[in-house]
Amino acid sequence: MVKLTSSDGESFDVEKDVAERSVLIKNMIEDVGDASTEIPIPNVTANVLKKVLEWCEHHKGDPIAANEDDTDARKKSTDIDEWDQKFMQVDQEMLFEIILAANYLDIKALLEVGCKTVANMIKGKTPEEIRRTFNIQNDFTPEEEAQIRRENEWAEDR
Amino acid sequence: MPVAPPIAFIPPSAGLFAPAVDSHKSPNVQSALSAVIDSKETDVEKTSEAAYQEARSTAMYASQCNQYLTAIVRFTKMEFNYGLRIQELYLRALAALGKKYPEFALADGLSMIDENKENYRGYWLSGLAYERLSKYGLAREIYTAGISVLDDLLSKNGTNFSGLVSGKMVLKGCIQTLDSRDLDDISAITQGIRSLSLYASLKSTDSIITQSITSTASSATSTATPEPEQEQEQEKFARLLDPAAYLPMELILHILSYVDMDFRMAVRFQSLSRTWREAVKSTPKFWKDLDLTRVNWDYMTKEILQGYVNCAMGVERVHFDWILPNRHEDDFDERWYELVWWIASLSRHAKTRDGNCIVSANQRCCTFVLTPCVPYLSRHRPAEDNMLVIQWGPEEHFRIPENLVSDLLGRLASRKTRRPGSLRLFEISKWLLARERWDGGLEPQWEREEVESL
Repeated sequence: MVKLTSSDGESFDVEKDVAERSVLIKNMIEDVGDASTEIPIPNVTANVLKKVLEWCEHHKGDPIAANEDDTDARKKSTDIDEWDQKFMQVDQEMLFEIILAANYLDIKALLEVGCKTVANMIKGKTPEEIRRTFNIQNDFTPEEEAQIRRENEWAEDR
Repeated sequence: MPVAPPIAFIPPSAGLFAPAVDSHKSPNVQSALSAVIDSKETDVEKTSEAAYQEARSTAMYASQCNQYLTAIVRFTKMEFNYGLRIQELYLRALAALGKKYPEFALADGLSMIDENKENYRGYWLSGLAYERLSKYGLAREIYTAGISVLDDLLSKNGTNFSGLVSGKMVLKGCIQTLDSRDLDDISAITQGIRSLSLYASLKSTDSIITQSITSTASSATSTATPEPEQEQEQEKFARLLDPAAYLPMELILHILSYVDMDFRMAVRFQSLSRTWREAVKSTPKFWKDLDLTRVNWDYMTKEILQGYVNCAMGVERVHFDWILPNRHEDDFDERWYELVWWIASLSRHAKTRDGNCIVSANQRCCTFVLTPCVPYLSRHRPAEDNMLVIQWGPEEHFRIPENLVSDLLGRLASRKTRRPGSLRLFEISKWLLARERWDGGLEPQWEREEVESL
């Protein structure tokens, strides 16, 4: 078992193979040499870490992605496993926190699922719909906006 | 708007020096005369239309070269001579906004609404002009009026009219922008109502605005006591987060790598916010494949395209098979020559990097664009690279030595028409390279190796 401590001080006892879904934790365990040592995770809060560990628990048997050089086909696909889809049905803050945690903990598969989820929220939408989906504030000045509109006029449907 | 025949195009024979016509001529002579007059009138109409198109083309050119004042002057001249159609009003209003003459833009925008209440651009431009004049309340009202008109149309016609839907979204976007300005709405509306009296002559537009003011006032009263549902909605909205504000740029770019982002979509993404614009612009891969097949060329300029190419750090492909889908050959002006020359110069640049020609064009494109551009290309070719390279289809490349291009030019110059629209560069180059006339029936013996060795 490995003991992980979140940024807000909560401790989690997890199986080593679950924790080692994170390359960062795996390297830390290797560096420390003693799995019983408490490992601090200073960038992740307890509620997010709990969620991340839930994902790691479910995927503990999965083969770890060999390397980063994704093939084009894999890169382009935004298909998400059914369980992962349900797992990602959280509010946007939690979704982004999971992405940040996956990036920090170096859990590529989870990062991929998170990014694909956001990508699917963007896909097929007009800029206005995207703006509504994420409450994106238009921070252009009126002059900039008019200029952008004029520049983008050509891209309107004929 | 009806187009009045211009005085300049009335033939001399129809004026004071026209031969006297005896009104007591026989019916046959009368009918013959009326036929002649009819044909002359038709000629006048044709000439008038051609002159109108020419004037329009020059005005549009000025507008798209950011020569706003010239554009405004040209459009105004057009207005005196022929009257302006809604498209020209739109372009003049844009130029007026560019030149910071919001009053002019407002007048044109309101005229556009009077002309066609179903076109969102009138509301959009009028709203923008009101914003420039700091009349935010009126801007909001005119956007709202536009949305309600489009809503009515959509409810009547269904949502199949993508133009209406996108117009509605543009207007909604404008209102959101206004909302983000944190305005004192009441003072803005008061100011707007005051300024309404200044535009009393535009009664029909005023009635729309007044209606929308009334509707907004009533909705404002209802929003004074927020209901639980509205509160929930607001709460839900507040929970929505902009990924670009929450996540670091590298993760945003990673997310975008999963979105099938083509060149056109990348352009649209730029309008989301400053951060998104930066993210999209700083991702060269979105700009490497310039698919210009669905470009509305009425609005594309070299400067705009240049901006996109600057994001790419080396364009890999420019694709424009249907560059001019609705354009007649006679519509060409220097702008197209310049633009295609510039694209062709990219081709040369890419060729030196990876040995591939990037300009791909179909037959129509070659006929209508590249062929007339040959003089322009040859005039601007740098001395160290004396080959004109054009890709024909996915496989074939044509390298035309400059001396042969000159030969080609000589032959083209001898033709009656200035632009050999019916001749394809493909055929001409084959004919020149084979050094024999090709009548289109007998294929000349032409080998790629021979061309390479030239």
